Amino acid sequence: MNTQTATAQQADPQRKSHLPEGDRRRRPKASGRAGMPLARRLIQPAFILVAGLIMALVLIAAQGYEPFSTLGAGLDYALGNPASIARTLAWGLPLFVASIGVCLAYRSGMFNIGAEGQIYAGAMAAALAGAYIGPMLSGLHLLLCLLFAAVVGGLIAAGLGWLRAAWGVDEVLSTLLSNYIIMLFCAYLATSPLRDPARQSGTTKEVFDTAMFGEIMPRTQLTSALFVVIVLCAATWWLSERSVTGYRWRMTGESPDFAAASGISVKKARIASMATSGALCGIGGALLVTASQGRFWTEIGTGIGWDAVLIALISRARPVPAIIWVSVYCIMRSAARGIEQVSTVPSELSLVLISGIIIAAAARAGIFSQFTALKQRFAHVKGH
Amino acid sequence: MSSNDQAAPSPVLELQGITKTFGPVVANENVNFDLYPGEIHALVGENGAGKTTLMRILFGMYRPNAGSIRLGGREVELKKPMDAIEHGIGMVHQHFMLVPSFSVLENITLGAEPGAGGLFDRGRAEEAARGPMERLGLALDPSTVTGSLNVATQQKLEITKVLYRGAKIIILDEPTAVLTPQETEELFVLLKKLAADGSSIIFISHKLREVFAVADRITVLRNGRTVSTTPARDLDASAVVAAMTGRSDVNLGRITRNAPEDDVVLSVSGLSTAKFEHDAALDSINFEVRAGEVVGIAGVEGNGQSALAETLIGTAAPLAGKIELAGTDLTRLAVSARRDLGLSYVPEDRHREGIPINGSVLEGLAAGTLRRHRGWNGLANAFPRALQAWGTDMISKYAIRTSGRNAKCHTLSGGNQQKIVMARELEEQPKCIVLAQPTRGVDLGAIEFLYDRIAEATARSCAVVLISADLDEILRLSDRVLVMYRGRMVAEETATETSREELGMHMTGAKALGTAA
Ligand SMILES: Nc1ncnc2c1ncn2[C@@H]1O[C@H](COP(=O)(O)OP(=O)(O)OP(=O)(O)O)[C@@H](O)[C@H]1O
Ligand SMILES: [Mg+2]
Repeated sequence: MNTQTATAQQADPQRKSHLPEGDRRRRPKASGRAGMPLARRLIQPAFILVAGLIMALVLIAAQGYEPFSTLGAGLDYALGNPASIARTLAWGLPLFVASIGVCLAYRSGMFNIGAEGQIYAGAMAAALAGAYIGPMLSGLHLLLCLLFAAVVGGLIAAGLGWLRAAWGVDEVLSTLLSNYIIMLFCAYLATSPLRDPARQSGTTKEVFDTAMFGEIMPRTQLTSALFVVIVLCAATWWLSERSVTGYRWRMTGESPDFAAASGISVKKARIASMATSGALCGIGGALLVTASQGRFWTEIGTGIGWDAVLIALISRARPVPAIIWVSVYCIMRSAARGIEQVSTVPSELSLVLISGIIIAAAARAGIFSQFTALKQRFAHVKGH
Repeated sequence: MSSNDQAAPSPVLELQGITKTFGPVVANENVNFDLYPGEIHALVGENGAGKTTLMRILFGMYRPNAGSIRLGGREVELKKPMDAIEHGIGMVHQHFMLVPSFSVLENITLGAEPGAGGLFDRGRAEEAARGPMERLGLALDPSTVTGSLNVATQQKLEITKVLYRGAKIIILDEPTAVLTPQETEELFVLLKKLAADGSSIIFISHKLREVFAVADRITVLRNGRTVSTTPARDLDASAVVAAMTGRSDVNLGRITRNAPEDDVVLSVSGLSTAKFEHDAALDSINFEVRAGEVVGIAGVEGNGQSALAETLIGTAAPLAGKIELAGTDLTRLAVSARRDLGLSYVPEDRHREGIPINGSVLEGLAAGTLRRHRGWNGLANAFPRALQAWGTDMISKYAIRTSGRNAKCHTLSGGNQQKIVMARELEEQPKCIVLAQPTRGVDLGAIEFLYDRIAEATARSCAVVLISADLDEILRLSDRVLVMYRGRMVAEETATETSREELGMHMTGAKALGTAA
């Protein structure tokens, strides 16, 4: 019996009492606290970060190093000068796009945990468009690659959204499974029919130079893809938080019955937001190819789709917090690499830290109760 | 009525000088309230007057900014509901707080489970719950899943829960809003019995008929302040209304309206549906509503009224039959298309369907305007200046009490939430509006105001379908009354020529005509 959560619910009636019975069990929800003043809203994230830093200091000291100077060196490596900032940022570009993509779907109540698969599919689409079409005018070629990736990612996610909207197939399951299907299929393509014969491992042909973003700061790997990312982040923020469409999607996510009764097509909103989400994840994948690797290979994603899902959960599907969390994430990764260089503290330190921060942030964002809600939802689906 | 007449010496509860603010909103200001053993004390006031806030303070959910709480003469500090419960205070909330997936027994004992070391002792729990259940005449299998019970039973369950925890002071916040007249009568019998046994009851309601039926004393709140505390027998309805609203001209009778026109606006024929989860299936429903006419649909809840409302607006699909609006067949159209053709809808469950409970007031008001954006307009700014200004206008036009258009809907009092829904739907200038329980939880003054807006709409030739569990409402507004029973229309009466009693007979199926209206 689930007395735990229910008792918690009793003890916190101010927040819960306004929620109708049906609403409470219906959906995991990113409940709004927008009314709070900014300063108060920043306290908890700041607290989490400070806790993370202290944890890092303890871990470094445990390895026998002077904690402050070592951590300082790591942060210096990540943010010390413009070039290091650029390097830190370069790695995160695809993650920015994928994270706001996942947020967008989550805002309309769709858990797109298929981000990883959509990233792979987008990367494959971009790699093929870059290698088999062209060479041509670079801007045009890049546009074509990103477009291909967006369409492929978008179609996959839209299909999964449609399964939910039309047939009630739960998207949590379908998107989860789609990851494995897509990744295996891409691996098959890269190792068999589309494999680059010149290479041993499973990679596709290298894309033409015209399908690669140019570096905007020498030897930092930071490319002009940065501008694409900025534009996409701004556009997604507008779409989700300010536009009429965003209103419909948010209402669908937060109060589906209100949406339906006031004439918003819940099905359309779910499919469209999934499609847009998938398109963004696809573009994230395309950036892996066109802004860094230059080809598709079987391990290209390195799990950034999962990172994107976590970041969307932690930031409660709001685009601005998501962008901030991705930045924090990039800095931690980079700093951990810096620490590894000046000490024998392994860069897995960042993993430990990231896990700790995720657990803390997850507790704050009520993710555990969200999963409880998910569980109830499955129970509900079964009941039908 | 109760032991109050025997001049009970000292109050069990005294609230003195209670003040509570939410940011700029003053919800309670220097409120005084007391309660004697065995007394039923009614608390009345307009929407947003601060009734729920005061009760939440008493139940330890809010901390007051100033003031003191005395229980049995001793000053206490209630920091959380658990403190209040330990002092013998129980509260049945305006919106139930039962866990639908739990069993009856689990809900009753939740938070105070008998048993050692976190283990649930089922036997002892059943034993402990039996007493309160018997006192309320609640003959239920304790393992029944709560979500499957009807509202009246769920409410009894809430009261059982309060008794189980040993409450001597019972707070009931608008307990009758979701009950049928018969269920309300039963509840009153129960309350009087509890009072006779020595419990003290605080009763909140917007229906003066009910207040006078049970209360020993009546306290009126206005704008967060106590206006008066008076024995009920020294008062009449108009005095209470005047104290609540500060006006003496509130119309509590029938609303005067233009006579209906001749042309039919809404025509429903042979409408049938499958069984609904909490409602009967519609069984070949036929009726027409003419321009400017109000057709009341009465019936005991669960006889197909919700099914009818949902099928009319299009959130549920019929199995057979036809719905026509001014000659256009709506039966296969989506909700938005129906709305675009001039159909409007006030849903009965305002928290779920009426407003975005976690969204802003403006987001709730603007749904109609935002629905009309097509194509690329979907990427435009949802809330440009003009729309924001319109939102502010609506808040003042409909006298919605809120800190502003960006306030979250859940911070508004129940009646003010309902005004958001009514404002949005009436401002669409519909050809036909379906009103399901339009004034549930709304205060008398606001009801009059909303009725006037409905009368205005009918003067514009709007056809009105008024589905209501409140017979007074139906008799005050409608031209014709149809009665639903088990998914069929069993009777038709002219509103001015029928009575509560006659409608009540129809509603129980006693006088079924056997004709499908
Ligand atoms: N949590 C909150 N945050 C901000 N304002 C609030 C909150 N709770 C209540 N208010 C405001 O306090 C005032 C009093 O609200 P309250 O719910 O006590 O009214 P009420 O008398 O119970 O009304 P109703 O009859 O509509 O239920 C209202 O103006 C309301 O908007
Ligand atoms: Mg209230």
